[in-house]
Amino acid sequence: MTTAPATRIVDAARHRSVWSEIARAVVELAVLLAVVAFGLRVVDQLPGMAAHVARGVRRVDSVAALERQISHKMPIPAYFPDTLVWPPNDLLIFGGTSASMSFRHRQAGDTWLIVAMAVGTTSIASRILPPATPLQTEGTTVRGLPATVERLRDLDGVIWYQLTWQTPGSTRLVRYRGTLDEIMLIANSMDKRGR
Amino acid sequence: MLDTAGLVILHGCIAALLVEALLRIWRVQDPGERLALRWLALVAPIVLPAAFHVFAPGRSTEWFGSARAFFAGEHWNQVLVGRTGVASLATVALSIVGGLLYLRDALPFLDDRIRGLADRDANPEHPELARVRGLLDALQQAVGAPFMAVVLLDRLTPVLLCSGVDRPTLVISTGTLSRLGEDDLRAALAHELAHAARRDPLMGWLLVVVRTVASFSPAAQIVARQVVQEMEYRADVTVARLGHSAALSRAIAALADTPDSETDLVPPRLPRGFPRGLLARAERVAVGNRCERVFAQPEPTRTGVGALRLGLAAVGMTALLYFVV
Repeated sequence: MTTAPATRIVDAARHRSVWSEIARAVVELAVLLAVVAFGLRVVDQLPGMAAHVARGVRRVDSVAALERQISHKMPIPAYFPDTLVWPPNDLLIFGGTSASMSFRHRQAGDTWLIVAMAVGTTSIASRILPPATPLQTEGTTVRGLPATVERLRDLDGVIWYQLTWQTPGSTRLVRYRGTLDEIMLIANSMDKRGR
Repeated sequence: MLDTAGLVILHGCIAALLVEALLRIWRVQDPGERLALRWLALVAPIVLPAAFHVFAPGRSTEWFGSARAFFAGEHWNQVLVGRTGVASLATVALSIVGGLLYLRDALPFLDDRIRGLADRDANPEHPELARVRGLLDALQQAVGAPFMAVVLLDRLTPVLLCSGVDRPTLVISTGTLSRLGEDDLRAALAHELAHAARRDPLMGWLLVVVRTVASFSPAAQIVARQVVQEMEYRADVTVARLGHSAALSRAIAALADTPDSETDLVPPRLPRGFPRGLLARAERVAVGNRCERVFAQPEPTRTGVGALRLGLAAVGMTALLYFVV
């Protein structure tokens, strides 16, 4: 008479034990995977830290190398203020789609102009640009195409102007530390072939 | 080519560490489950990169490596040594280590097979053959092993092996018989029968194939050795279940005392002429640990969730390695 209920109790206890064993296994695996993923992510930061770039950003030596990596010609302005130094002092690439070139000022020595491009995507990866806070945004045109002009403040408190516009198959950006008139001249001097 | 080799090596290291951690965290004692998890760590790093390449081509893009991956080996090529990236250098260096580990184990194994270990000094008329046959027949049913042929070698060097993929054969030498007492010999034979029951010689050949495919991966070579150790542990557990654990410990210790032993009861020996030094000490420690494990450890218990845990580990490993490029 008492055998059947007793068996049921033992079965239920075994069931509970198996389910708790499964739940424990799932939780422990999830924690382990999270720890390993975090560890890998941390280790992946190290090469960027050594090269003083954000994670996943690569630095290349020349404009030709940059163009080879993104399989596109970089937009180079025909109007290039003679206060700036050619060639670019820093060439960065992210994800094989976003690239940027930075130019120094001849006397100040700081970066004064950044030209960036993203191929086939709508936005340029922020990791290839120095961090800055937008202060004001307006609409404008560059070579007849709708564009956005922004006033930014970088981490040192310096004010920059930034123009962003889209051409077929790419997004272009020019960030300049000089006047609005000059940045408009620079942006409008980039022709359809990107030269 | 170098990128693919680097990825297999990287995945191999992560998979090996992941499985090692799981074995400890889950406190896996069942030898079958331990073996299955080791196989997962061995095979997944070879199969997954090819599968990802076919079914998830977007994962190979630079954008994925930069924006989505947990770790991208290519990022380490930004750090240069001379004019070469660290990732490429590490791949070459680790491939050389993997190749040496592969040759260290593969050459003696293939040499034995090519020269035909079982055919050398075989004496089908030896009077001890009947005693071995009798002990094997008495143990066969208890272990659940198929019929096992016996090849007795007239040699002073101890030899005790289970070979034969389709027809299990015990290869034993007079040197082994002279070193082991009756109980110890019974335990050693039960161990070899356990290998035959589980078709471990076939597993051995599969291991050779996998090790050859991943001969450049040090992680694969190390995990392959762990697979062998797990197979040995499984056979040891079978002997312990028959109540012969103390006798098996004695047999292992006796055969380990002879440097030229050719048996799976002791760790694989270094090739002749190889400087022994620290590795010889490591061999002694391994033998001591195994004796202790056989003698002291309680019989592993099955949890009933082994298959599920294996599935979880496989899914987790696949998900993790997807984000490692």
